[in-house]
Amino acid sequence: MGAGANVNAVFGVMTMVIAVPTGVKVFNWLFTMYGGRVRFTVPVLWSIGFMVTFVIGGMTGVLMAVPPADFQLHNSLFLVAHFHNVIIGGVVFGLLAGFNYWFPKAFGFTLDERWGKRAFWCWFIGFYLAFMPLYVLGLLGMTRRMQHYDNVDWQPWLVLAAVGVAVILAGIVCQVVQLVVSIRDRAQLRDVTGDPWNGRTLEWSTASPPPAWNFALLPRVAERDTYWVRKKLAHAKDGPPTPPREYEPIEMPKNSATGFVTAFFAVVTGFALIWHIWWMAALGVFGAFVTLLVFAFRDREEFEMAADKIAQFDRGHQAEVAP
Amino acid sequence: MNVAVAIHDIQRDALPSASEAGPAPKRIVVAYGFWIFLLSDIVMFSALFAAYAVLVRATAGGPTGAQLFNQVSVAIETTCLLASSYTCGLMSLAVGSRRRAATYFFAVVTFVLGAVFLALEIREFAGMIAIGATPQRSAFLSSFFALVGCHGMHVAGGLIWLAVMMAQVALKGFRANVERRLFCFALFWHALDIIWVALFTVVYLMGALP
Repeated sequence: MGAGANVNAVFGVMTMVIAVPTGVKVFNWLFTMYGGRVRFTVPVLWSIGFMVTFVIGGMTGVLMAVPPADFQLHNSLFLVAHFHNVIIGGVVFGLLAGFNYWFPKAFGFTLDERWGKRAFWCWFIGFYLAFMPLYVLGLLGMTRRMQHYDNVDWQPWLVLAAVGVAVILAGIVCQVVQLVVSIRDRAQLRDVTGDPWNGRTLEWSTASPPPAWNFALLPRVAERDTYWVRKKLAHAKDGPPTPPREYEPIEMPKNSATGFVTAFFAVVTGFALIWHIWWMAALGVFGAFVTLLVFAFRDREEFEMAADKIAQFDRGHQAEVAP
Repeated sequence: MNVAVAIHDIQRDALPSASEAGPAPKRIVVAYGFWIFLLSDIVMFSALFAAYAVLVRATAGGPTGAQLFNQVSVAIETTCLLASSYTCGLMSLAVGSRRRAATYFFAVVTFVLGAVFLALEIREFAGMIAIGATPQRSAFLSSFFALVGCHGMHVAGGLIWLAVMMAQVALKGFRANVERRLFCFALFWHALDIIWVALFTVVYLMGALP
């Protein structure tokens, strides 16, 4: 807006071009599910909710690739509804799907299914109640960031959106409760096998949480779904015999606090730059630099994890997995 | 010898396939990671270039590029930076053949050329600010200082990096990780050179058009 016809044309074309790879991604997700047996676990609910919401948000977004339409929709609640549609549907829902899916891998116990489903449905319904009215309001001419309004036509839609906010709040509360309940019941929810979802990818072949060295034996990847094939062969009676597991020491990076310490100094620097406290900014940069120097002058960066330690852990895990 | 024949003579079967070769050597992994960093840096610079290209005529009644830029000074800056890239390449060769004295010598030459570049740029900035052409004066000057200043800060960071690397060569010798870092530094320095070539063209040549 206000940057001239040529710039508007470039931005319009670029916005339209975004729709092409995004469309490919959407078909990619759909065909991943197509022909499979979909179990409605919490991560799958979030994933499907994500796809539906993200596609709606994407379709309202590509409307704004047309500069004349964008002239009308710019700075309106239609735009606000659009980007929340992609940010919440695309980022938040996707993130919560991943959170529920990989939580057992990271922490060794699954998240409570019941509270997870409550959180999903509150979020999902609440989202549509809160943001679909904003599309209508945008088309009715309401702009964003208004300090007050005096148009009675807007009132019912805004009340509806406020109800949606309350439902989303209930979803957030359920999400917190899910975490608290799961931590309380972690003994019952413990992920013994390391493969709670009957997964296809190799991270599920490790223990939950995985040891620092990840794989005791480097997996040999010959197919697309090596772990899946390996599980199928293990079930088959005439499958090939499992080769003896021979362990070797693994080279591991040494632990280091450098990332944390430099991040601390980066926060100090950022804070100081925002508030123009120049001595503090200099101190932050200097602190981060010295931390990096100490890191760079280390004599040993790695250590060797002994083979018998790896063998002990891996044999224990194999014994737990075995039926 | 004919190059095509020489390539044909390479024993192909000696090379293991990607899945049999195991994890890539650390030198490859480090260089790959550093290339990703460089590309992300170039993405940032392209945003700054786009901002400059859009705002170059938005001078708000203030001084234009044609009035501000001193082509002689910029020509010397460019020469210094291009020459420093060449000496940086010579330093990489010296590192490869483990010649310590040559490494120090070319590092010092690279450092001095980079420092001259930086000094000239700071003088240019100071001169502009002295006559009121500050980043706050117009959108053109905001985008100019953001773009050129960002490149200058990269050069300053590169000089500090080079000095630290020479200390590492002196204290630790040509250890594998020191060699990898010198390799990354060379990539960084050449990338800054490429950005400067674009910057010289877009800012100082095209920006000075009447």
